[in-house]
Amino acid sequence: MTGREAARFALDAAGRKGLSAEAFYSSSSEIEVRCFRGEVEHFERADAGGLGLRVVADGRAGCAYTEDLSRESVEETLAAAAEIAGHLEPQKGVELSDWPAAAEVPGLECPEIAGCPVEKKIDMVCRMEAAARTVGVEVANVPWAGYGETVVDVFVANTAGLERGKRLGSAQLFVQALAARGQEAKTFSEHCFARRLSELDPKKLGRAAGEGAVGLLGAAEPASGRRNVLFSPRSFAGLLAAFSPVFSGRSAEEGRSPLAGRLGRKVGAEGVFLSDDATLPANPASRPFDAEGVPARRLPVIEGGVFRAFMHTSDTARRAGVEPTGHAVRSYKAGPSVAPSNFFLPAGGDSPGKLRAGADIEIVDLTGFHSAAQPVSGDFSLPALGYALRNGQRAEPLHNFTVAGNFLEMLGAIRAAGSDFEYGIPGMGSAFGSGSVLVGGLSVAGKG
Amino acid sequence: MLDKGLLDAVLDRALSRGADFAEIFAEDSREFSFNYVDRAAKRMVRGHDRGAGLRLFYGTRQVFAHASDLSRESLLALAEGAAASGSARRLLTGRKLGRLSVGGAIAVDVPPGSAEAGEHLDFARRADAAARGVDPAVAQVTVSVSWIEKDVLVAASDGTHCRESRSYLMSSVEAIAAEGAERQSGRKVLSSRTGLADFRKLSVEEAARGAAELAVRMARAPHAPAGRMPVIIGNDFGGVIFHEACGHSLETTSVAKGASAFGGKLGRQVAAECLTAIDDGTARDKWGTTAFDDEGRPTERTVVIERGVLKSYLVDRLGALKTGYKPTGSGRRQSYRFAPTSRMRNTYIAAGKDRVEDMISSVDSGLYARKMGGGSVNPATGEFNFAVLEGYLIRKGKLAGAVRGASLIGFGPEIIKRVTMVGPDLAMDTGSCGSISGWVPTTVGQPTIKVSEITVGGRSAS
Repeated sequence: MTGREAARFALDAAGRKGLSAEAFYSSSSEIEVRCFRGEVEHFERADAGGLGLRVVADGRAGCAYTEDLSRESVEETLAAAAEIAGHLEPQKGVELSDWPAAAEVPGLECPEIAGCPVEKKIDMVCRMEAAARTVGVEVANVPWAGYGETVVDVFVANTAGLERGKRLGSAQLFVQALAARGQEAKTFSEHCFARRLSELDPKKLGRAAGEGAVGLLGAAEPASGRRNVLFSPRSFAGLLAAFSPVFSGRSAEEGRSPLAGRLGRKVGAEGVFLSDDATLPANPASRPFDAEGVPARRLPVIEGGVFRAFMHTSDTARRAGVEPTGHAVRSYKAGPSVAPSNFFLPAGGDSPGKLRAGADIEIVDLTGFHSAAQPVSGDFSLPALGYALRNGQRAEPLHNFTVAGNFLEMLGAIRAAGSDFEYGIPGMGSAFGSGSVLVGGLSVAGKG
Repeated sequence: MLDKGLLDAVLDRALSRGADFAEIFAEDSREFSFNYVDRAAKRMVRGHDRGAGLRLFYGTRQVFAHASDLSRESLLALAEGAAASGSARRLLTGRKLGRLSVGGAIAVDVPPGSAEAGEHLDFARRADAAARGVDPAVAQVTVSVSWIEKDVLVAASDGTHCRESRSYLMSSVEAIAAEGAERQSGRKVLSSRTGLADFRKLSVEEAARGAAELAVRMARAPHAPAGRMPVIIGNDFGGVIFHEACGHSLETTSVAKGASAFGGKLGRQVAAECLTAIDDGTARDKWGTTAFDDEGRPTERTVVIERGVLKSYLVDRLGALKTGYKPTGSGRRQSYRFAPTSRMRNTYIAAGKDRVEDMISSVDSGLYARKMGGGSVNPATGEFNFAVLEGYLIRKGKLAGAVRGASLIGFGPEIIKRVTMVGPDLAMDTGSCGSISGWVPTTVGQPTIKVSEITVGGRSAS
């Protein structure tokens, strides 16, 4: 059976048994090309998908999935989901609905991408790698240079009558340059996500990676102490991604968010706005509806420093007594959970050049999020690469230091956001964006 | 899973346009996960994964394709599609698939999948009660149980033909303690490769109490100091320091591209003389142990550093082709959706003779990182970082109070030269390692070690 056939077959079978059920099928077709020294070193092509079933009974949702779309396997999966539901505790708000139809979000299918011959894509990667190498003799290597494209098909339907399908296409370029001088080595990575191939600029990306790596050579360690820090758009987007669980309605009800109980309170500086908007045309995490079929919408999360809303799945919204926000994401392998779509701090009015005047340190690369950022407390202590700033200008590069603080305290210490808005690398249905951000008084640990 | 006739046909088709090598990795897995949160059984999922990954080499160029449909038509189409990127320069002839060899690295007593859901529920309730009983500050407890029973098969044009069943059972208890506005979490993990019967012998109450005590202690602790200082790193999961600071840079994935901080240093003194490190795919019943790697090669015990001298890299099939180093049975992948690459298995620093008390008394002002969390590394530059989950200050040779929120950063090649003392208390801990071939089960380990100087990322001035 095809994915849609298998989903409908499962719902028919559920209906015959008097079960309330939801079927979620997703599949992806992918191509990835990686080049090294001007030649293709890795070529990948994939087609895979699976069917996730949820059986809902008395506030309990049992989940099971299969990658085998035979009738026997789908029936077995339905039986497993029904059995599992019986083992769970009933929760208020767990039910299936036929949500209103979603408005179309333009620019997401991108048929042009798959239609373009592979040779052109390989050529883009080779040109990007060459552009990184031609930055200078100090670019010793370009370990990673690649192109990836994905077409995702999603179909969600339930026994309450809902039936929705969507197709999302996208393409990405990624490159990492390695610069070396004597014993010192530094890398710098760039990426670009696009809904049209013409938005990918391999030459510019390769150059930026090469220049980024070379610029970091000769790095020193900053002295430890309190510093005013300017985050690059990508490093601040990384912080937004790491701490987005604090805005999750599920985290809040389970006592895992430091924002629980703070709706309507001031949590950030006056000028801080954070929004989630899945309806933006052709943005990286746009979608007409979420994984439960709830129509997408724009959600102001923080307005003028005041915390306005958590993001919800349908059940956490019902329990919180609010309208669903359309933030259910899932793969067929797990039930819905809460995650942002396009989540961003809007661009401010100042150029990064102007913001440098107010900062001591500029951070261009921030890592370690999965281990040294704690959404439960908001605490972080993350390794960084960047530049010392003097008189508003970049001075020597900096390495081997951490920047530490608390995410909520940091929202209160944001002084300005730059006009250079961009998104970080999207993943798992979410994308995080911001311009450069100036934050006052963060702990920097370096030498001494 | 797939019979020899079908494997032969798929490999023949894959080789039809002149590939030098073809390999098929097929998988059939059953998975289960269960979450008990806020005193309630909230989420439970059961699943069936299956599919195949097909890999071809044209010289050192790799073509990889995967599909979740294991039918004959789908697999032949997969082979056709993968082969299409080649050209019929010369055809490999005389290929013969060997007899199926069935791996049995680890015997399973009772398969995890045979447990009733009620057993997991009871387990979670016991953990929840034990954690909450530790202190009124324990505000939330999450218990998860998951298992995977995986059958993998590898068949390749060099005759490789093997199959292995692998079973992984894991539970974690996470407690959150709230002290005023402060919230901190503590986590403990229990795991078994040998099945349910052995898993039942582990004390979930002890793990839950440990997680809760850690959360409470950290919620009441001040921020860690910032700056450079001597650090003593505790045993078991402390081994993540070697895994990140050195291990990843030894994988041929980086070495072959000239993107490793340890490239070209075989036979050289790269670490302190007191340091010997091993990556062992054969260690008994460990998380990273398999009979075959995911390229069908028998796994082995690889001494990577001996008394400070670099002895071996971790080499997969393609890495061997690119570098000329002998393969070490290190080709691993998360699932059929990933092409394999060189990865760590069970990686540890060998035991030494220095007493832990002597390490502490040798430090005037520093940090004792008793429990480490996860970390990451840039293999090309050796820049690593990891989180300290349980830390204590050392003042004038004695342990002082607990501190929270520390992370350790540095350059791998420098740090492993600064290991000055190695204890006798080698212990291992279960982990999961992410890289370009996905997440793979690994073990990290070490005895307690002293590093003479490392940058501690914290928030208060030291």
